[in-house]
Amino acid sequence: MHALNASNISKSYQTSGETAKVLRGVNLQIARGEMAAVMGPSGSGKTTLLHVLTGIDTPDDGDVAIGGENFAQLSEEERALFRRKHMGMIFQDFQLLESLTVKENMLLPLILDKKDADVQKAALEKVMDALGIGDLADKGIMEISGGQKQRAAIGRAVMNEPEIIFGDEPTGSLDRKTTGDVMRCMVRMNRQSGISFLIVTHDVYTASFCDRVLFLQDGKLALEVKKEKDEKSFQEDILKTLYALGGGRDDLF
Amino acid sequence: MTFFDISKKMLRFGFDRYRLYFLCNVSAATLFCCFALIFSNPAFMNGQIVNSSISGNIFLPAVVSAVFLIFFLPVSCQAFLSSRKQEYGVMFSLGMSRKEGVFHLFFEHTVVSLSALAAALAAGTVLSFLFFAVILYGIGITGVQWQFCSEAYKITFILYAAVTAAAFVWNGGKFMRDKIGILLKAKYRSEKTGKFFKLLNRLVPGYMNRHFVAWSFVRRHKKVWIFKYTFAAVIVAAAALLMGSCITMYPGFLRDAENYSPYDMVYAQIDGMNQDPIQEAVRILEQNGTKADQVIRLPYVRDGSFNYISAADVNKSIGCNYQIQEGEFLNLFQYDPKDGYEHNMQPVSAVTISGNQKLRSAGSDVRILFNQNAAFADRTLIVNASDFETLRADTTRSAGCMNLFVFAQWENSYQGICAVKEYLQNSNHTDDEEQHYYALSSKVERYRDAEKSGQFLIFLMVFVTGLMLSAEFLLIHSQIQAEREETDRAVRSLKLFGMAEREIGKCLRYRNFLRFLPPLIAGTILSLLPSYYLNESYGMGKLGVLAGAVFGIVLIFINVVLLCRAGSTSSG
Repeated sequence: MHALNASNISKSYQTSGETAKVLRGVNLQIARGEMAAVMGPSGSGKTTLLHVLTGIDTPDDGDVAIGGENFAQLSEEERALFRRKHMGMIFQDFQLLESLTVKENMLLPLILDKKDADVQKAALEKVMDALGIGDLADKGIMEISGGQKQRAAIGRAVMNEPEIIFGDEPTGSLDRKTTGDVMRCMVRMNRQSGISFLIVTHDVYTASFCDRVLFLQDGKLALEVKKEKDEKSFQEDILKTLYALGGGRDDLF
Repeated sequence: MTFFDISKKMLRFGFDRYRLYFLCNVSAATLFCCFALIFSNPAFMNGQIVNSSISGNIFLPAVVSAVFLIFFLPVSCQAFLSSRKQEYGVMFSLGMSRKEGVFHLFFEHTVVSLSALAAALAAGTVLSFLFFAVILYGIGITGVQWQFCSEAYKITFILYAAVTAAAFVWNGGKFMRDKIGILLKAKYRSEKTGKFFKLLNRLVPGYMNRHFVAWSFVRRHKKVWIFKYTFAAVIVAAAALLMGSCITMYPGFLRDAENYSPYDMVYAQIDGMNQDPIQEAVRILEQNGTKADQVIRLPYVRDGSFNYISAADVNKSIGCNYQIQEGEFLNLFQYDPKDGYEHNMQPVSAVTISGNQKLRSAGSDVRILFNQNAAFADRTLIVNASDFETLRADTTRSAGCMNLFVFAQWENSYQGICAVKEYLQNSNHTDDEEQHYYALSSKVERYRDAEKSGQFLIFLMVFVTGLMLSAEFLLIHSQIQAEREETDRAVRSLKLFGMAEREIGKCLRYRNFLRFLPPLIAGTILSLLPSYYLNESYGMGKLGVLAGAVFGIVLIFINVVLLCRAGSTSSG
């Protein structure tokens, strides 16, 4: 069974009286434990796709199933509860609450799910150890670096052991070294817990940490590249594919 | 850890936001509650105790405070909810349902609103209590004191509850309909340059370039600011209008006191009252340092509706020139048409004086011949001497004499007046109610009452305009505070690209000028025309305009001084 199975997703928006078709029948499957990235030039519909896949937005047409459960046609209320139990999210600008400590931010999904203190404690210890941020637990969000913030955000995303974690440009605000650290951290979480990851990014280096990269063009998934050798050669394959699709360097970096 | 623990931490962290919202609620409700307690006070609104031209002034600020509450609370609610957007965006993205979100927001909103209402009712009570304490003990107006008026609290509660509930439904509904992506990005959203700024850029490009950074702060949140500027201007205009009225009404009161008292002391010898010889009153006056230069005795007849006086007597004693034929009368309206009040000047066409004998109206005259006194009827008819004798002979009416005194110096006559009053009261041997009916009236007493009314009016206006200007300040200040986080972020960026602390301070100070001064200027201008028309009824239109303009200029000057002195580095 797939962690994510999206079929025939369409989405359009009304802008200044005109209809803009952003997604045109997207089909996408992510296997359990797979780490995939979606790339594409600006305006290709990456963020819209992510919003539809996470239930933040509803598709005009098509189905989205996570862990075999179709949720695209659920009510907003039901989608929120579904998201709470089955999904994690990582954002480019972290979206951590400044009013809370690192530990409290990470615990939020369990708190919203009304889990007992014992469950919270055990889960927190496990995730903190895995991410290597135990010393940051009681620090405020404004006291830690960008890389540490994103690791805390990863911790928050894995805390409720979801089927899949979605990343919206998760390294967009980070430098190359920190990007490497954060992506390695995600890979480690993916390998250890078997949680699937789907990352939307425009950065080849970030995408090269994934097992598979899908290319979105004109609202459709045009091509995909799988990692077969090392990261270096995977990066070259990604670049070649992007050039083949007509993307310039401005779209990539 | 539970969501309640998280909520407590959020409250502690965002305490400034909660406090600001709480204070906005408190101030708006306090203002209205205070005015409600004043206009619900039966003694204050009793025309017998407080001149209606004074007590009536409470309605404009009461309406303004109600409008302030109706518009200010929803805007404050919107600002408060906007400041929570990112937090709730994160919660929703993590799986908090909209229902849970509404519940938490509703809970917070209810706690803040109810505690603010309790504080406002208490503060409104204290303010109104101080108001009545000052007029009772400071100005010395008796018969008016603070009273518990449940109506006032009820009106405040109903208005406040309705407005806060509507504000929550409206703003909370919009908040809940926002998509998660929009909520998450709420604090970074930029706004398009409006037409006004584009126009300014074209008209005064040099100026706009020079103050580019300051205007970049001002350009934000256009819709909210347009509303706040408009409403603040209306408040300033109302305050200037009231102040203009106050400046014209005070001399108006004094002028009326003199105009309506052509004689310095007046009393009636009628119905067997005040029958002691005039010489005795003159002697008592002299004993108390008041010299009576002239005493006029004017015979009159009165019934339930009219005083009847003989044209011959009036012409002889007061120096008039009325020519009234037998069988006719002249309606005399003893009013000053420029006193600012509306008067019923409907003339009587005919009166029956004896049996079937009727008098016909020969016209009317508007002129104050003698002072008002409880022993005189409200309206006066001047009749021919022979008709007057017929009237005097009719025993169904009272016949008597008005004693009209002219003093050498009326300003110093108060002691003498009191002595004569006491003497007449002692000699009449009647109860207090009857005494009041036949008591003398005097120019000095009326003048003193007018002075007291004037002081009362000035206090009322200072109190009212003080509260209204506080509301105006709060309107602007609260929005600047609501934008504080955003401003701080902008200031950090400005510092990063090399702007010096001093330059940023200058920009923020200039921004504050652009925030506080336009409503003051617009409000002052807005008040000029209404002020002219309102005060022209006293014949003081120009003075009203001048007073409002001076008030506005003084306000602007005070604001400029305060803004210049405010900390240059403070973003608020």
